Amino acid sequence: MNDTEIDDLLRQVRADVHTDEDVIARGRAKVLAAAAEVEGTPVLKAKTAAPQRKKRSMWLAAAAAAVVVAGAGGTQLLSVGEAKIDPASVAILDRAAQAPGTDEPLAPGQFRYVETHAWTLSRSEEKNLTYRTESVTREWVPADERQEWLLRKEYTGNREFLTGDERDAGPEISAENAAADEDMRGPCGDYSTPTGRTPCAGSWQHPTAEWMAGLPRDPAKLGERIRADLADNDRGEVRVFDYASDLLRTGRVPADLRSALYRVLATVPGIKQADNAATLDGRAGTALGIEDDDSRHDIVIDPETGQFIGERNVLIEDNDAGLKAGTVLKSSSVSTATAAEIGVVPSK
Amino acid sequence: MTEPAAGGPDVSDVSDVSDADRPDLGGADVVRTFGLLYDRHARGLHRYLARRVGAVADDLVAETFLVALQTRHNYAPDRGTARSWLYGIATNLLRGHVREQTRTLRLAARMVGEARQNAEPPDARVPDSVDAEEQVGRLSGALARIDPGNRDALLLSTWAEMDANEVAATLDIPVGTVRSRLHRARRQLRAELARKD
Repeated sequence: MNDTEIDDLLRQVRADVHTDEDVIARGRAKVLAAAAEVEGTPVLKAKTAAPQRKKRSMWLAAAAAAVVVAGAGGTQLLSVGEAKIDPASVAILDRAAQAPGTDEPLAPGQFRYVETHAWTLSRSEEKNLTYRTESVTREWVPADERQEWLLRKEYTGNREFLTGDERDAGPEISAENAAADEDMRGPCGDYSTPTGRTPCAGSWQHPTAEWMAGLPRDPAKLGERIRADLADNDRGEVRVFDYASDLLRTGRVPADLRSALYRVLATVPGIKQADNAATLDGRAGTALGIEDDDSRHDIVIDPETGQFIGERNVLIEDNDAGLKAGTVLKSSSVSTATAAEIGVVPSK
Repeated sequence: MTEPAAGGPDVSDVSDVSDADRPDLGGADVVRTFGLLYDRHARGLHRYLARRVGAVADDLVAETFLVALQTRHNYAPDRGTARSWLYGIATNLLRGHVREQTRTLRLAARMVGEARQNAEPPDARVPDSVDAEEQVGRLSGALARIDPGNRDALLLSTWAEMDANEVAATLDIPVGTVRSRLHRARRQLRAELARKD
């Protein structure tokens, strides 16, 4: 048997081995968490161990270090400055990033229909009333985004009182909600006139398909781009989370870009897994959040499908309006579909 | 495959898949660099390690990258690819699991029949005749019996698909030594296969 034949046989030995993506994702979380811990420290070049040796072996230090790192693992939080990168959150984001995406392209004349179901907070100081108001926002985005979009918001009339009593809510509060049904139209989602923005240019807060197509899909480059585009701010990495959320809540992010955004979020310190059974509108997912002042902003995602379900803001300490820590201040869920006609809600 | 390159292409942009896999690991952006390194090499490494030691591979992959992280300043792009370096670390870690190595191979020798049903991915090379199956089984058992240094060289060559230069960089030995180890390994295996028992 010649060399080639033996090698061919060898290639068949244990050829049926399977690699579990979960294992890869967990390993990645561990490695990145350790890298994050290292990243804060200044870079020191290793001194050459034995100057007399002509050949510097690559592996001496590696063999020694192998004993040291064997114990690393678990859910230990590792610090980068004040905020920490949480390996559990990284693992969830990685898993969501790897879910196969399902983009449904629009045929000419069709519309992307985006429905956002939200509860937002209102407060009346004089009556010491705090309540959540329910609304449904519907948006129709044409396949050719330079044509007219339609945004329609309606308040359902449902309210949830957090402090105070509904009976104290006078007519002025009820009227405010009844009047709010409105239709807005404009090309490229440019509903307000005039905005001072270049029409159809696209931005993190008002993305167009064309603008999103120009964003890098490589997570490292995308992260650089977000950080470069952030206005100067003293809130640091929280803003990366904000910008990513801005994009995700539009419901129009292509699957590959969504995947890259999740990977960028995996590099943002301070994100914690808030709840692995968060429910918005009856849809369950994992809540990952970042703290900002007295509240935590969560995104709720389905790690299996990668789907962005929605968001919520949760109070993390009792506030002086009488609301307790753990109160959900606002929440929204977003779903999308394809509509054949503008202004018509596609049947489910 | 890869050439040892002095004055080779600019490899500072690690995200370019056509580059020579010789990244700068000494920069300040450690998370980004190691994320890319992991994404590029972890799955292949896991497959190689799982073939060698089974479930232990799950921990060994992360361990390899953690060691790489700790010793990143010792990686010299002109001495070899990042892949060679990582597999070299992994080879060292495997030496702490010799019993697992031989047990895995002996188990494979006894389980040849299952290979046909469980082959994955679809293009995995599965024995296509009973005689071939038997041979693969005997080969697995034989691999467990040859000298470990020779075995490392041979499996890096066949399972990790490395040429002699890459194996040399991985094991940090001269390429001539690699060739003689491959030669001796194959000779020992042929002898094992020729046995009548």
